[in-house]
Amino acid sequence: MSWLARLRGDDEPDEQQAPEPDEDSPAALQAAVDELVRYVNARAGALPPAALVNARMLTDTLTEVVDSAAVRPLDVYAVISVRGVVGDYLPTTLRGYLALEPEARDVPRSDGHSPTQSLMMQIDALQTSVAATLVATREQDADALMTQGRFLQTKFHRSDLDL
Amino acid sequence: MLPDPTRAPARTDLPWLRHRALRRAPVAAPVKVDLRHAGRPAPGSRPAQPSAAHAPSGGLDLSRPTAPAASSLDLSAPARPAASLDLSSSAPAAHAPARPSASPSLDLSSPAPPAASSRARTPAASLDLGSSTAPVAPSLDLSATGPAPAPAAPARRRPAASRGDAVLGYEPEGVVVGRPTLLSRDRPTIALTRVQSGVGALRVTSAVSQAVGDFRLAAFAHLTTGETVLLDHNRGMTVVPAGTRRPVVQAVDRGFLVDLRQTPRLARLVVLGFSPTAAHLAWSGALRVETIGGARVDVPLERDPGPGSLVALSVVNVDGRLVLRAERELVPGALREAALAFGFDELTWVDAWTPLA
Repeated sequence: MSWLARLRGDDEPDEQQAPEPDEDSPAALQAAVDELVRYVNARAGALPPAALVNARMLTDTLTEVVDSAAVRPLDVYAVISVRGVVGDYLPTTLRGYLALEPEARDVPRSDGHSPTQSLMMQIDALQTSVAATLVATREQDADALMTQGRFLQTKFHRSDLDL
Repeated sequence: MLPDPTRAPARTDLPWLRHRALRRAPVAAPVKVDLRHAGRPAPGSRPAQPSAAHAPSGGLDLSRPTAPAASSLDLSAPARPAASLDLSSSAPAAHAPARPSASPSLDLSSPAPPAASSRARTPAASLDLGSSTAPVAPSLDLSATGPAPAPAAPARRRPAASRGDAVLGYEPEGVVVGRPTLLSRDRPTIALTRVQSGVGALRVTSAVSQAVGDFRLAAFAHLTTGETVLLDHNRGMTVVPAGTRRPVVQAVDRGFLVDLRQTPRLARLVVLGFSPTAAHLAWSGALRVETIGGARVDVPLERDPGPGSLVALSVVNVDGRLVLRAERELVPGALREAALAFGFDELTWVDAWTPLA
């Protein structure tokens, strides 16, 4: 506020701005996964069928991880994993493959693998990573359920000290 | 005068002789044990069967006087610390060898290890092997010189996506014949087996009520030959490949037929519902996917009311297996936008609804 407005007694303008959207919220993560699904689908014609199906299975697993937030907030490591795969790892893999000429995709490189084989391996590695995240998330849910069970048992059962 | 062995004709009967010896092996293999004079049997042990006592030569005859401690197989002597088989002792291990029928692996006539065979040939041994002149093949003869077995073929490596093979990287859920499978958001995909994917036909039909509106069904098909075709029965685009008399996919009234015998020619199939007048549709109903074998998959057509094309189902051929997925993707716009949204970008369009045939 300027000094003139302050002398005139004008009301202070509303300096409260709209809160920034939380990019790590489940809704934002799911929107990012949906966008990745559309990206994969739009390039389905240029991907090997097996890579397409495995990539969609990867997005399914990502959705499962995000859906687990309905039970309990996502672990920070789960958020980082989802963010990394959705925003960087899988798009980078697909972009790198699609940038190749179709004739070069099945030609073995110096390491003995063709770009198509490398694509399959990278998607599989990502699937393994996200699946591990999902398992860890579910184990946390199971641990939370067991903790709740012990709490209820302590609260509503008679104490061992009662006569 | 003996002929020069180097000029002797080649023996062609040696393989047959070896073969004959192998056939006699099961006859001579069981050990015949006579326990009539072998002292008191061990408590709990079964007596030898009577037939064993009258066994012809070639069995194990223990009726003769035994020489003191000359054999490694002494059935009357007390237990020895090692390398002796005592059936009169109470050791449980001696029970099984006392039954000839249960001891096919105890072959004392075999040319066993050098030490054992030398002891068996000693004259003072109580072990009478009968006809010791004829070589008798053991029941388990690892030194047989028969036809050499074929070298083991190298184990076939199982394809895996982790090694770069173009296969599924997960174990897909299958279809249970006789029980409909609903593809939902929680379970959006299943895979037919190779048999289900390669036998008969796959029929895709729509079950939509009149309340939905001006609903039509269309499909994009992509063949392994590179051909991409729009299938729309109402506009006469009914077969793929175009103009063939043996279509891989055929558009019929309110559905499609996939000839599964030609599955290797099919790369991808995407089925969608749309309104030819671009009207808002109240999406409801389902697609029904059936095989001749009785497998059935239901794909819901549930979305909020709106314009556009609802891409409901995709079918992808992965290494001979058809993978079905409920897409549930409402694509705004005309058919051209739906085609581009799912990677069918090799079509040339006359307008937004009509591809160039």
